[in-house]
Amino acid sequence: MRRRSADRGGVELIAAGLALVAFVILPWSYAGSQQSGLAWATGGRWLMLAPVLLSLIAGLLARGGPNTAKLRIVLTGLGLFLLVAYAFFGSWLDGQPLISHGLGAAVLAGALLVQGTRSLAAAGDFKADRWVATTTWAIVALVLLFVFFPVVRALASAFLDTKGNFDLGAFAERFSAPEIWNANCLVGRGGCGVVPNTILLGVCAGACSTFLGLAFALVAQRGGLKNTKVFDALSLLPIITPPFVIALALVVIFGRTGIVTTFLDRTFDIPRSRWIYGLPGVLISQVLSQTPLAYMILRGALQGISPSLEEAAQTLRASPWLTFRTVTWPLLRPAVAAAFLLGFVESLADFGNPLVLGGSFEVLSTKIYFAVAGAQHDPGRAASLAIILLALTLTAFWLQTAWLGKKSYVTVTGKGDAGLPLPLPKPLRFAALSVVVPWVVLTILIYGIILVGGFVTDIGRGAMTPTLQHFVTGFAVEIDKSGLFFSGSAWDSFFVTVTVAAIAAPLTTVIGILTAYVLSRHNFVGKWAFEFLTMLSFAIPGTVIGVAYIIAFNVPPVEVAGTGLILIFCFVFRNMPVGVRAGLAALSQVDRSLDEASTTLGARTGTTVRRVTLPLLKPAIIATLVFSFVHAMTAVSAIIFLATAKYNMATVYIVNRVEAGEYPLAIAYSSLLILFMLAVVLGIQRVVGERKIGRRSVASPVVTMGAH
Amino acid sequence: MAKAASVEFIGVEKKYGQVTAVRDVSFRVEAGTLVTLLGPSGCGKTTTLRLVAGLELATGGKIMIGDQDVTALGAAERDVSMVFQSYALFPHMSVVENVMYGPLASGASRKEAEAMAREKLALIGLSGFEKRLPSELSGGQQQRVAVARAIVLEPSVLLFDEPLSNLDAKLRRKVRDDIRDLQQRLGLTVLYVTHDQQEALAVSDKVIVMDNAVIAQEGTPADLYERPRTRFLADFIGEANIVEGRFGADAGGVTFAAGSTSFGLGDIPVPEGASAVALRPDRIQLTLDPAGAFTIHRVAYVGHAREYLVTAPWGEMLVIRPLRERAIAAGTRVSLEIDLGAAIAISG
Repeated sequence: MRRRSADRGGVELIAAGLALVAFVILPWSYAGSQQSGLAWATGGRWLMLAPVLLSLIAGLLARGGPNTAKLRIVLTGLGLFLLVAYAFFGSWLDGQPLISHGLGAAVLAGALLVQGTRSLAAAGDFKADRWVATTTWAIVALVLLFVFFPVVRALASAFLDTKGNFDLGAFAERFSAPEIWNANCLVGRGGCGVVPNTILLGVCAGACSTFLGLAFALVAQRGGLKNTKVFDALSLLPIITPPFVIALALVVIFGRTGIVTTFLDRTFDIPRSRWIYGLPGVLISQVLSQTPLAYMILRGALQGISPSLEEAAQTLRASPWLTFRTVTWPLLRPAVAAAFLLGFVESLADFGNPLVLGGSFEVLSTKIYFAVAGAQHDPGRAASLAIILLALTLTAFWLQTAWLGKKSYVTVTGKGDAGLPLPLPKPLRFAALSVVVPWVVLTILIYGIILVGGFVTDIGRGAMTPTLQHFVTGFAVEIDKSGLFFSGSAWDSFFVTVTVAAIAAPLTTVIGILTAYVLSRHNFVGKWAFEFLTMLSFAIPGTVIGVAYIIAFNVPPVEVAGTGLILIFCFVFRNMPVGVRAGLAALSQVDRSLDEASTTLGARTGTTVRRVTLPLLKPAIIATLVFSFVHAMTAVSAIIFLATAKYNMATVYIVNRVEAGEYPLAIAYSSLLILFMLAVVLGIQRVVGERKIGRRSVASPVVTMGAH
Repeated sequence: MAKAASVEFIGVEKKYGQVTAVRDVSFRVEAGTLVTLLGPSGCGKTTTLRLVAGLELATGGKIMIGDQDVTALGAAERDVSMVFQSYALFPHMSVVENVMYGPLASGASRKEAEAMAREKLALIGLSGFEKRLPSELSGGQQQRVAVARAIVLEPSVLLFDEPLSNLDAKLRRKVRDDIRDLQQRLGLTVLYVTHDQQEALAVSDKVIVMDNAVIAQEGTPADLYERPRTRFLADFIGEANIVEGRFGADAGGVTFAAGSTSFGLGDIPVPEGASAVALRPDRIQLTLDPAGAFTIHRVAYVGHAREYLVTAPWGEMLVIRPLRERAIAAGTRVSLEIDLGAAIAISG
């Protein structure tokens, strides 16, 4: 009974037709002129005709199926090449300035891509699977354009002098500046350069957060506590807290006029000081925000240790302490190393805390920001610093995959494993608790400050008169004849943030989950390169991405800086790896034979994905949606470069208030954001019952980055 | 019912990079017959099955289904269905939705699809279970749903990948017979993969034994059991004692000398280059003989028979004797006699 007719190239012909229509009717550019591609071409840019003609010829040849496949690959490949070449290097060819590319160009490029990839499949690539061919290349094209291109373009500007000419000397000079490498602080007096600072901070933050995370994990899993809800709450906090909020709270507590400082000054006559500004403050705030991540990794690892291993040790007459030392701890070590490296990388990437608390203690991320945003405006210097930051981060990731990837002890098997985990040895339990309890108190204090701070006159100066004035300033709503009027100064940024996040989240999810599907279910030549590309933006610190976007997308051919679009692109490709990893983890739980069963029943790949794979991935899809939405609302490091007066973001607005010294308004806004996101996350958890939503999922990067 | 079609492999090869999973395999499955692919794990039998399904594409050779060359067609384009080892029932769909999936994917209306699904569910005796989820069924029921789903499109070839491996021993025999019944009732062409030689012998019209990416031998179950050509086959199908030695001849027929012991084997074929015999454990007689060259090493009572481990000059031999014969104690010396015509001369 079954089986439709084979593909007659209808889709390719339609694509070519759409390309032609788009070329004639749609505006070619995003910024500037609204004229169509045809108008540009007839206006003297004749080279622009070539891609659309090639697309048409290939479309007409598509009826030939496999017989003309090779020819169509060449035609569409040439078409894409010419389109891209003219877009980026057209001025070398016809001497006219580059133009911006928008909707018309995107449709033409998309059509060529669809035609070319379907021809590839017709010629037998991708196991003759057209859907996989198109999906894979579409993802590659997007990642190349929105991750690879901006980063390379931006890093290249490290080698350009102020006039834009290639100059190795300029790079050498920027790269070797003593303010970067100077290590005076290690040998004696004076401050260190920015690189030693960054590494010092990273190592300390990684070590401290791992230590604390371990203590928390041991107490939660093995401490014999009845109620571990407080730990669950702990794992939720970093998801919903914008990165600089903790720094803000620390200023309110320990700053020169802070609550504790004032108390010590008045009661014990301990003089006020600015000790919190600098390494100690940044370190404390980073450890506060990263401990939950380390906790989640280590708790996962502890759960993964089969209790029967410890029971085996005990039946062999090992005391609890000996069992812990010789069985539990060695099995835990890879996770400890993973948590440390992750803490290190997070510290390198952190921008909000050093910005608020750094003082004269400069790290790479803030230095990069000030090189672009400050009075100096020196993109070349920012790019040089970005190269160093990127190298440090990639080294850490490389260490993680090369070294830890081989060292993970997977002790969880499919079989049910009865047995009780070993309770902690008494001294260890006491030690862990004595670390955990003060830290919980500090965390509660900090979130208390944030929640209360918005409702009093000026908590930073100890003025505790209750007031709603800050919320009125930020979030006043007036009702007049024309209806509601959002007159508060923060409303604009809030609405933009919610809108951008709501648009970016589904896009992130689609591209992330599809990437995971292609990675886990299909093999093709160059898969490792595909995997590397899609994971790239995970390894790139937000500051580097921010600089890269502002440098690369400020000029044609892709001129989107200053628009809402660049914010969306930035979020989609920043958060995409999270979708990829959530998808990969979920797909590894779904038996491949389900896909194959669908295929043998006559369903094409597209149908299989829609009817079998995606329904089974629902939890991962929802987790990715929530994560990317929430992360888009809390991110600051990349977005601070891209937000403008018109398209301002909540976090950027808050940071600006902090820099202007308007702490109460910043705190009020932060508390509102935290409550809003708490409502979103809890609401969705309530609806779908999915609890595993994390900024960094519990399956640490080791799992996915080292998996293949 | 759609016409059951034959399957033919002509010099088919499948390589994964440097690894050859299937090397120059040729065979033919006649329409309406049940053929088993049998072999140890990693021998290439599952790859062969997946090549028929189109889940893998051959890197060499030609695959014909009926008179259509399907070598380059993907799984969705072939008129072949498969019952997976894990059953691969879609966990998010009810029983009837699972069975409807194929018709819907092929463009049938919901109504048609449901009618077809209900018909097949009735055929395999699962009417009344339509609305259940797969997780609410027993293993045997899940397996039947998987079969219903596979036959709903009335494929010209039906594939089974180790269909019994997830069932308990009791159920296996019943399901095995059900599959054979269904195949004969509907006249299906079935290709069946298993590593269990008993299962293969029981259900098949023809058995293809694979080893190390190539076909070791093919034939009817009786052919394979009674006339294995190689040591591997003799050992793999049924139990066998392999004894090295030299062949000779006397008036009684073929003789065989292992060390200083010589046996009369009767009139059996001895292929060129044969250097060993395979002796089925139940075709060897034990006789009490204080001067015998053999010693009973261990006796095991296994319910329907006694199993003797006998120490021979060339090693240990397994001998199985029925219970009605008097038991022989361990340590006793015996002599062996081989049933005439029961020994199998093998090469390699």
